[in-house]
Amino acid sequence: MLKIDHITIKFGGLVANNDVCTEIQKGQIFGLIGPNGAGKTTLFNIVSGFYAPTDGKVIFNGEEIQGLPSNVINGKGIARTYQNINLFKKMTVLENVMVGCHGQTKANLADAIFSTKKKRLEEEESIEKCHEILKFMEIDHLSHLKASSLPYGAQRRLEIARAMASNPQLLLLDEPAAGMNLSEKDELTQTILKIRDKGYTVFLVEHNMKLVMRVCDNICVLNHGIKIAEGTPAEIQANPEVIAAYLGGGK
Amino acid sequence: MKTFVQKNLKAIIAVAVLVVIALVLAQKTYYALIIGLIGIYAIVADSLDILFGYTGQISLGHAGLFAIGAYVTTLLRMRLGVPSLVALVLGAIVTMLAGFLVAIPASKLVKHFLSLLMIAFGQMVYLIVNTWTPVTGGSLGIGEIPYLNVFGLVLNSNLKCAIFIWILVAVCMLVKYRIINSRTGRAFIAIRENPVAARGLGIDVRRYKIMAFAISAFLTGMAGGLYAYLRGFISPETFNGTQSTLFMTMLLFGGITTVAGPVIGSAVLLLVKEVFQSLALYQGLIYAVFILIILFFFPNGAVGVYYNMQAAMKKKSNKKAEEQEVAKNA
Repeated sequence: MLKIDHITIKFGGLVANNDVCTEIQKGQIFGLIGPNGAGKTTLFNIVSGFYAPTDGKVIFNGEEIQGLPSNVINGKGIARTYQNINLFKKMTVLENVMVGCHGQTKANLADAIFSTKKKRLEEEESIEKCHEILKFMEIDHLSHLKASSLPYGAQRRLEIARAMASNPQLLLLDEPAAGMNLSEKDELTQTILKIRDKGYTVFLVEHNMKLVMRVCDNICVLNHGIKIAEGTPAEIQANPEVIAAYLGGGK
Repeated sequence: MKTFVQKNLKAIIAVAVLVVIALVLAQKTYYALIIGLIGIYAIVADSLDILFGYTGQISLGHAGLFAIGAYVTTLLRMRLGVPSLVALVLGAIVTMLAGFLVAIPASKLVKHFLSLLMIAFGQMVYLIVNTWTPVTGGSLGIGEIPYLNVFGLVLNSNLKCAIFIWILVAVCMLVKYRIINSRTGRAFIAIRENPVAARGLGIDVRRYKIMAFAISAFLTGMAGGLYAYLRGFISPETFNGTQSTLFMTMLLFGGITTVAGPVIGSAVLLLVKEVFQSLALYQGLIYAVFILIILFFFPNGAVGVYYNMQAAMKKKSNKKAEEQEVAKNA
């Protein structure tokens, strides 16, 4: 479904991703791990269109998408969440998710001004769809609250809900468990599995190894922008290079 | 289910009372003029609210757009003999195109860079109308602008013109409300709140910023045309930088992202301006004081103060009820 083909990106002299290749199959939960500063989020930013790579290709469903603006990439079926929560703080939870429906809805300015039947129907449909997503993410009871007033774990869930509203095939989750407590992490693990079972493909950056090892079908490990390993969780855990990267390599 | 009337009973009564007072006052030509002007400025403040309040794009050059609307309408009417209502609409459309053109570079800028660009734009328009004497009449302006003719009804008094203006104010408020509560409006707010996340959710940020500029320019241009018809005279002095500041102050004082804010702000600031007419030199100072008061004490404007008071009262009554409950139980 998503092929990352020899991606290199340089910021001045810093090579953040160096010749990274990997492939994500439909229906997988694919994990991307690595020590701090390994270039995980950078790779996410390339896939979601926030950075254009210096070299290499990103192929999504057979189409080259590298360098396209992020709103176009969203339209092609990739949605993401952010490491440092990027919610629309002053909007309600429901409105946040409804912004996610933007690409799926068509009503234009004239429809809005004249409040046409098309607009009203579409609006009702979006509201219904968003409540469904919120129920799925188990935060529907908070739908009327301001996004900024939510507890931290719920904010992370809302980010995922908002991304899901744009009907993506591929969902990029950037450290969804960061800052969560143990029970929240356990619930999130279940939720990610549920998201996969619903038919989404998930591409996950995460530091919490317990979560990664439990949910991922395949894992890619980056260190200093270079891919050092790829395989199933069991293979990764046994890989000496990965262990060296995380614990510091002895000579 | 409560009906619309039941839900908004207080607001409806307040509006009705205000309309009656306004109609009584407006029997005097001078008051009718003031009431008409309040309506015109309310439209401008509403248009600024769409751009600044909801989309987060600051503009300190709206007097420029206001001038384009006023001059284009006047010139079409007087030089080309276009029917007055058509001239008003065309003036608004030309202003919208101007807003569209400014927005192409402006939509790439944020914060202070954007405000500098808009100040420069306002200044440019001011200089053009001031110096292009053969067309705009230069600093002397254009006088004896004919009355507005609405489908055969000649608005030959300030009162008639003011009533027409306030009908348009109501239409503008409705249009604003509908835009904001739609997919387009949510895109605007999303851009204000977090442009990065908005783009990541498929919103073409630049396109929507340009759209907000164009809508805002259309309404401001229309207000400019109305101004020309109401006053019957326009000159560059009405459209200088102070006027842009006044528009922004009206919006901030009334309260951004509210329905009543722009009207309240427009009314209060215009009345202050009229009362202190003799201190014309110090008008900039008066606006400055207003802005400081808002920034320090009422960041959500006059409407925000009302909501805060309401919330405080609710809290108080809740507390009372609680105390009574405790007393009962004891």
